[in-house]
Amino acid sequence: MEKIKITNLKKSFESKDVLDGVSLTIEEKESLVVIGPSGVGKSVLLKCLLGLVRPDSGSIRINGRETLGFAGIARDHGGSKVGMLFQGAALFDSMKVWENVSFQALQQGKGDKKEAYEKALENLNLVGLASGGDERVANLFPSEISGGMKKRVALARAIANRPDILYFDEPTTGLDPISSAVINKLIRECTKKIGATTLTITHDMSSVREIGDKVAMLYNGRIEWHGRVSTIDDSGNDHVHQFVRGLAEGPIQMQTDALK
Amino acid sequence: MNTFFPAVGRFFFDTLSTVGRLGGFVAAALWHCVTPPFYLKMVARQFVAIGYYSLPVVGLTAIFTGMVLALQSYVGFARFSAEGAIPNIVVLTMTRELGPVLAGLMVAGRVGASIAAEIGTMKVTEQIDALVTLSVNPFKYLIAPRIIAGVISLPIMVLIADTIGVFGGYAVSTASLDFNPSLYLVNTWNFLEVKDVTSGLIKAAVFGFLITLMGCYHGYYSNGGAQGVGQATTSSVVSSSVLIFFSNYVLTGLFFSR
Repeated sequence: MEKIKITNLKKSFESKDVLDGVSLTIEEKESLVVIGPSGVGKSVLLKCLLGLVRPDSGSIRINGRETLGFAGIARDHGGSKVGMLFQGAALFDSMKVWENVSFQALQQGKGDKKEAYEKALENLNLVGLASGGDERVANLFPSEISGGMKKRVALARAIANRPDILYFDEPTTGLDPISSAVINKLIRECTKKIGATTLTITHDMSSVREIGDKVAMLYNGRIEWHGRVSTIDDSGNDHVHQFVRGLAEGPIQMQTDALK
Repeated sequence: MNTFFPAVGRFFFDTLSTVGRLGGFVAAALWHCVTPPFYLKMVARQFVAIGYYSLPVVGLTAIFTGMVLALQSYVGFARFSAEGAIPNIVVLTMTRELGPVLAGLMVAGRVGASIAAEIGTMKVTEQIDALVTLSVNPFKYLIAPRIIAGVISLPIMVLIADTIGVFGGYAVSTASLDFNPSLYLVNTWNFLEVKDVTSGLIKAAVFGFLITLMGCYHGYYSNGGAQGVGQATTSSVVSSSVLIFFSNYVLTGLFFSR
């Protein structure tokens, strides 16, 4: 069943067409990874889905329902609960780790504080930050933990509400290879455990292979290629080939004019 | 000419779009101040941050202003033997003008800047986007509590500042200008009208609104990392200070013009 269906989505800033007719379909419980060079509009695509950016035209259907309402901005998510892991973790730095994880429950006044705390520990345990009932990390502030741990806390916060759709914005950017591997593995495990449909944007090929079922490549505001992860090495597409191999020469020209 | 007209047009459109953005922001902020859900805990926290922690600086400003008022008006009024008017001068100046304006300026510097920096940092680190994805409206959670707290706490602070300012004038007058203490207080009280105080408090509420609004607005639309946040704090303090002086003139005209 189609969970998310994006049709002919367009968005331009000033006179630059960032999204120039993007069409994508994500099946229920599928993990789609969108790859593409920096500045190609991956983040804009995600922000359109989240309702943070208003697309110029096109359609976003979730669970078969159009989410772009009267104002053209995605308001509800077709009845789905949505979780999001931001590139910089985006933890609330005025709150302790556990308050971040249980933020939504605390704001909605569901249950009492103690219950929210227990829930936070449970979710932190899922990302390996409260194993064996260790409550130390839960009571630290975000500024007191490392970048990799912040990402894990942000993951715990994103899945706290047991969403059926999860978005990941460059989950491994700025992390060392080991932390990246841990995050990739956790993302895979957590999304499987809660049975969520996921959309990840990244340019880290190790993430793509670990997290994705399918891959779509965004280039020049359009989906250049779309296929299973297993077929990415012999896609037959020059753009994908260049990106996957990380070649400087090829059809994708980075803006290097300033260097000449 | 080829560059002149496009420049004029661009300036015109930029101005219009800024005005439109500000108008939309004000409307949204006001709307979210009066519609549920209300985050009362956030309002209480902001009330403490904006009101309570500003009291020392506002109190110090008030007491020295009251003292200077008494000294300066003594020098001037002694030249035509009108020293007796000093209690009235002090209390009227404090309640009508200097109480609200100076408290407003101090709070603009202290609170307006910190609001802009806090919200601006939340903006550039995607914390505001994170709020949206966690189904919390940032206008309701971040902006409305600050505006509500500002509008309520500024008049209370100004009432306290008025009292402290009058006390400053009283202290200087009785200690070094040979005024009779009880006569000073009687004169202060007798010539004071309710309108003198209430007009100052209404001004204070307006200033509280403008300060918090400008802090939130510049923070919310800040971009570009540390530099953007720095720019936002500067813009917040400058614009709220100018708006305080401007609205003070308009309000004074409304209250006291014949």
